[in-house]
This record gives sequence, structure tokens and C-alpha cells, in this order.
Amino acid sequence: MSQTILSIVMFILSLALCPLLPGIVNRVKAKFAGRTGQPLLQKYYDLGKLIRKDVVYSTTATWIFRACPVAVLGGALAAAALTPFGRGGALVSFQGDFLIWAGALTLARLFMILAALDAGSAFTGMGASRETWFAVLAEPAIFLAMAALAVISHEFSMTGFFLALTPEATSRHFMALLFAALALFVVSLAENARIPVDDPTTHLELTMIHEAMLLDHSGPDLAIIEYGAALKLWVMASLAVGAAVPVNIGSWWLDAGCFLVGLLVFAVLLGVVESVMARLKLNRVPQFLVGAAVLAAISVILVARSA
Amino acid sequence: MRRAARGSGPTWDCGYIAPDGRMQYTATSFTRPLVEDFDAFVKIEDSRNDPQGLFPTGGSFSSWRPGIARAFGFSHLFRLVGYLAARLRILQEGRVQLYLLYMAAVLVILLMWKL
Repeated sequence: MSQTILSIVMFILSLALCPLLPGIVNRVKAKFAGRTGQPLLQKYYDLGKLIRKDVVYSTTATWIFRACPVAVLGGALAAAALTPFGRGGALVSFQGDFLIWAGALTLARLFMILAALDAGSAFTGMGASRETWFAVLAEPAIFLAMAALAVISHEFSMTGFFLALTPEATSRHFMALLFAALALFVVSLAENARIPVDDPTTHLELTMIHEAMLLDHSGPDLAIIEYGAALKLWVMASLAVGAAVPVNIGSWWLDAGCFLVGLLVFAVLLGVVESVMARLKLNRVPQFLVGAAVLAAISVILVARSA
Repeated sequence: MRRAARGSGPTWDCGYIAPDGRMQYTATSFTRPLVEDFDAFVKIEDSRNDPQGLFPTGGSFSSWRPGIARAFGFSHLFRLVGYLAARLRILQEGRVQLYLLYMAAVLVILLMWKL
């Protein structure tokens, strides 16, 4: 199967399967708590239910609030088009595309923050302020991890990063890739509002950051934003899995299978982390994120020494 | 995906009946957590007057961020430059004849030095 066809297939598969990841995470959490848990397809049912509902806009909201779901979906789709899912490579790739990738996700986040401030409630403003704080601290970790991948692969596009990770390259740079994957895992905890950075299940004041920004959206708008968040989780998981698992093994179906199994393991690991930890005290979260950045910096140092 | 009628109405506002701009996040409060992480460089200074008692009559809060460069670096430098400039003011008499004398003296010195 040629590269382009595989990338198109993986892209469409990602768009279709991304609501499954939160379902797997919730199922793992339920099993840890001794319950049976929601069905795995619960997110699909939730999205369907929300699409059929009405929309109510706050009296203080302007066009920014109504534009927010569009921007979130657009940013998530642009990032998904630039992310290589396994060996197929990204749908679109060029030199320096990881900067546009980060920019697309940041644009989505910018509109979420503006819409949260636009809603006119002090609570959404609080969520927006904390979201900005964590976003600023998480960014060095992403770029340092990508820098490590760039040094290993001598390439400057995300597809190039991951295509260079053959099994023998992975075994040669094992520790550095492990640190980079760990840093990317911690960053995806922060970016997708998971414990220990944020609690995605509660809607209590002062314990929500991402959910606080979502509070005023309703109906199809909320469905679009939830889908965008699920797609963002899938995209960041692909990055972490691509760094940890060699995807350039040989045959295309083995690569795709490995990648999907890797994503499943990522979701299970996420569920385990969510079950055994509580949310960190808010003062500790910067230390947590800077720790991830330090891990990524160590990974850069390891490969720069051997490259 | 036929959307039902869009409504515009009051949404959850944390229980405040009549919110206004003062109850929302301003630029200072929005960036406060991040700036606090960099407190070593920015030096936040708050002055607060908390409401007291059961039926408080008033209160105030203001936050000021001088920044370490302005507080500890530039202000000393500017004060030094101002002091030196004040000492040099003796030369500024206001009479054109004195300025011409300065110019003639400098020209004589330069000519002597060149020879």
C-alpha cells in the first residue's frame, strides 16, 4: 500500500475512532473502582445526544463565543492533518510543519480562552486564566521533545521524525526516546485536562480548568468542542506513541496494527494514572510541567552527545 | 443536523444576580498565576483594604508590578545620570558671549594639541 493511501486511511480512521479513546479511559477507571462502567461507545452517544439539543447563548456573548467551536474543530483537524499516524505519515507534511501543528492547537486554545472570557462569568475567566498558565508551561516540553526527535532523525518535519524511527534506531537511542515519550505523555496529560493537572469528571467550581471553559457552551457547539478535544487527545497520543514504539517495521499492516495497539496501551495507561493519582495541588502543577520539560531536555542532551 | 431554535438568555454566572465588569477577570488577574511564578523578576506589590465586619461599607484592592529591572536597575542608573547632569548645569549660564568663549577656548586647545 502506498504512502499516500495509507496516510489517508489512517487520517479517516483517526477521525472516526477518536471518541473511542475517552471511552477506553473511562472504562479503565471504572474497572479500577470495581464498577462495570460506561459502554465503550459512550462518547459517540453523548455527541449524538448533544447534536440534537438546542443552543442557548449568554446575553453577554458576542461573535467570538459563536466562532469558538469552529475554531476548535478547525485547529484540531489541522493538527490531525499534520500528525503522522504510524508509518503512513501525515496527510500534509513539509519542513517545519511541527511549528504549524503547535500553532493550530494554540489557535484552538486561544479561541476557547477568548470565548470563556466572552461568556461574562467570573468562573469561566478563572478557567481561562489557569489554562493559559499551564499552556505556557507545557510548551517548552513539547518543543524540547520534538527537538530530541529532530536530532535523532536529522529531519525537520514530523513525518520525517517518525519515519526514521526504525527498530534499530529505537534500540540505539532507547533511553532518549523513553524520556521524550514520557515527557510527551506528561504534556498530553496537561494539554487534555487530565488528572493530575485537571479533573475531567467533576463540574465543581475550583476543580475544573478545561471544563470551566466549556461551561457556557451547549448543544451542537458543545458536541463540536468535545469532539475537538477527543481529536486533540488522539493527536497528542499519536505523538507519544510514535516516539515510544518503532513504526517503521516493514509491512504496512504490521505498522498500523502496532500503532493502534500502542494507542490502546496509551489509553489504558492514562486510565491507570487517572485512577491512582489525585489532582495535584495547584502550586505543584508548574513543578510537574517543568519536570516534564527537564526530562525532554535530558533526552535532547543524550542524543546530542551521541549524534 | 437540523438545529433547533437558538435561544439567547442568562447562563450560569456563579450565582451573581447582576454581574458587572468589576466581578470578572481583568488582565491583571488573568495573568496573575503566571506572573507569580516569575515573582523573582517581577515583584508583585499588592495593597488591599479588606471589607470588615458583617455589613462592610467598602474595600479596595490594587496590584502593582514594578519589575526588577525598573526597581533595582534602571532607577539607580537614571538617578546617577541625573546627578551628573545637574552638576554640569553650571556651564549653562544663558549668555551667548560665554558660549562663544567656550568655543574659542576649545579651538585654541585643539590647535595647540595639533602642533
